Amino acid sequence: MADRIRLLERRDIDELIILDVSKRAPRFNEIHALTDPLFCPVTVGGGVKSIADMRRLLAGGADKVSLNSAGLARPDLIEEACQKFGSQAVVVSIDVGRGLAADEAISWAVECERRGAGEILLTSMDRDGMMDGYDLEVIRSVSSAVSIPVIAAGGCGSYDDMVAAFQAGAHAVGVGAAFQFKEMTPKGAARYLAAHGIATRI
Amino acid sequence: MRLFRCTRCLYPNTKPDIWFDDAGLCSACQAFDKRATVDWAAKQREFVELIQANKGKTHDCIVACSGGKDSTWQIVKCLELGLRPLAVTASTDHLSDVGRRNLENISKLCNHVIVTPNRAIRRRIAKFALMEVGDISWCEHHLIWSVPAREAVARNIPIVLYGECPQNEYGAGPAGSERASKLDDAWVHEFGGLLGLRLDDVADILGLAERDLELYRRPAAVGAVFMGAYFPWDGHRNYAIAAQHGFMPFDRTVEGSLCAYENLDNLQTGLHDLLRWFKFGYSRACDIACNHIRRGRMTRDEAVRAVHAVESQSWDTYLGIPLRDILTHIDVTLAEWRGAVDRFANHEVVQWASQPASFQSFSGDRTDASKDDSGISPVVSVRWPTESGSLSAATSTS
Repeated sequence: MADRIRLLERRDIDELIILDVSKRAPRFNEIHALTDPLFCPVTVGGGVKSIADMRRLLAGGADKVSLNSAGLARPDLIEEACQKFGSQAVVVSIDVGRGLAADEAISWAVECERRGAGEILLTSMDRDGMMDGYDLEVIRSVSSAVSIPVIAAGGCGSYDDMVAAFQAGAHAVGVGAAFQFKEMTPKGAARYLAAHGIATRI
Repeated sequence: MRLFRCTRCLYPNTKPDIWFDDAGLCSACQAFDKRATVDWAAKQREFVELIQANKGKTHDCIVACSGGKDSTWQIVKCLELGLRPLAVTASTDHLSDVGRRNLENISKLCNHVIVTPNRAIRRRIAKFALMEVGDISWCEHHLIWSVPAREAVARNIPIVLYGECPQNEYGAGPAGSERASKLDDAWVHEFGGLLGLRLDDVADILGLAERDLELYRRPAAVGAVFMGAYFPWDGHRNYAIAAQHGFMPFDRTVEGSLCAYENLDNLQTGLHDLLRWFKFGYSRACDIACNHIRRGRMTRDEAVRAVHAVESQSWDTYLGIPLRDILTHIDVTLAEWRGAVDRFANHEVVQWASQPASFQSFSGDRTDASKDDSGISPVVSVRWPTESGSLSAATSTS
């Protein structure tokens, strides 16, 4: 896993998001081993329940921590985290589909922004790994309701999908399966986006 | 992570893409068991009909050919069935003497095309792939798919034949997967050994021209099929038949192996297999012994003794050539090699696999252990446009 992650950085991604979906408490040592060799900004999430968890992850090399169910269960945690670590370190991860319905996602995103969150990681759960396009409707409605950056995730299968997500209002795009299973590269994506009028670091 | 081996063969659960059923039987053994239910005579007829219905003008099909025992057998089998194969070889990384003799033998059986990409570029890529993704054979993994497919398009011969399906023979991926006998781009990326590094990544990082990588690019929509889906595969039998048709084994058992007839063409294979042992804790000897166990040619105990004996030795040559010289060929020093081994090795796994006791740890009582419980699985990489401010600025200053 560490090799694969180092390789992603070598392939010139801008940032990395590592989510542990096993529903267990964060395994700090393992995560640290994964993030330690990296230079790019890293967001870590999965099983984060408390300020103490966040502190350990940030101290161990994460640049940002993503809150999901713990934030929903106790929205005050978002504010506390922003006071302790700054908004730039607090990402709220919103799962649309199997998590929240689209309209719930909009109002929750607005509340997260009000409570100080620095970014929204917006994932369409039903599209995750399918590589047949982002949920543009959800991206459009959530990103127009907030002014903090929205990272669109779930469904990317082509460079055109990325362009569409940006045009729908996403501030960044998350790509998982497509960089593993298709003849697509982060650098190729940057060039394509730049050629289609989206300001991108090449 | 809990470490265990298959209840029948010796494959460890550290082998990439291997799956286990509830009784602890690995996907390679499961796939082998499915053979008993196959009507192979019907499969052979199906094979001939498939080729006849899609044949080229002067050749009926292409055999992707390394010159080894399996590709020699494939050509012999095609000729036996009255087909007119064209052998296409993507030049290997570092051809051995015995490999050269066997390639020359191919042209005594049928027409033979050898395609050789720029070797200077290839050595640079090999060094890069070894140091960055821990795979010295990355070029070869690309070229064996791209070169025959490009010839298929250029010569209008619609079908390319490969040998055994790695999923069926070596248990890579779920047994009996729908895709096990079909090759497409997604298959190549998932199971074809490309390790998530794309040609375009390599071109960008090493500053290569499009021309440099042209032969590595696989044209879409070529009908590639595994012969292992139509004939019950057996490397040992393939050798016996190939040997009757001019194939030569090495003059002694190959280092790290259990036989003299396999992996003879590419000197870099020795380094590839050595690194694989350090990463995943199983050797070429283990592959061969597992094949023998499944076919009833070795008992599990005999296989354990043979494999453990090989895995507890160290060697510094491959096919008699010093590893140091093989590394020099791609401009890698011994110190760099040791550094790469260190970086990619899984010491816990190697230590476990080196102990005789590891061969007794079956997976009988496992609870859902086939799914690697390291848990940290999804990785999402992000592209930020520059307008998103401090985030990308942080990237460019890092």
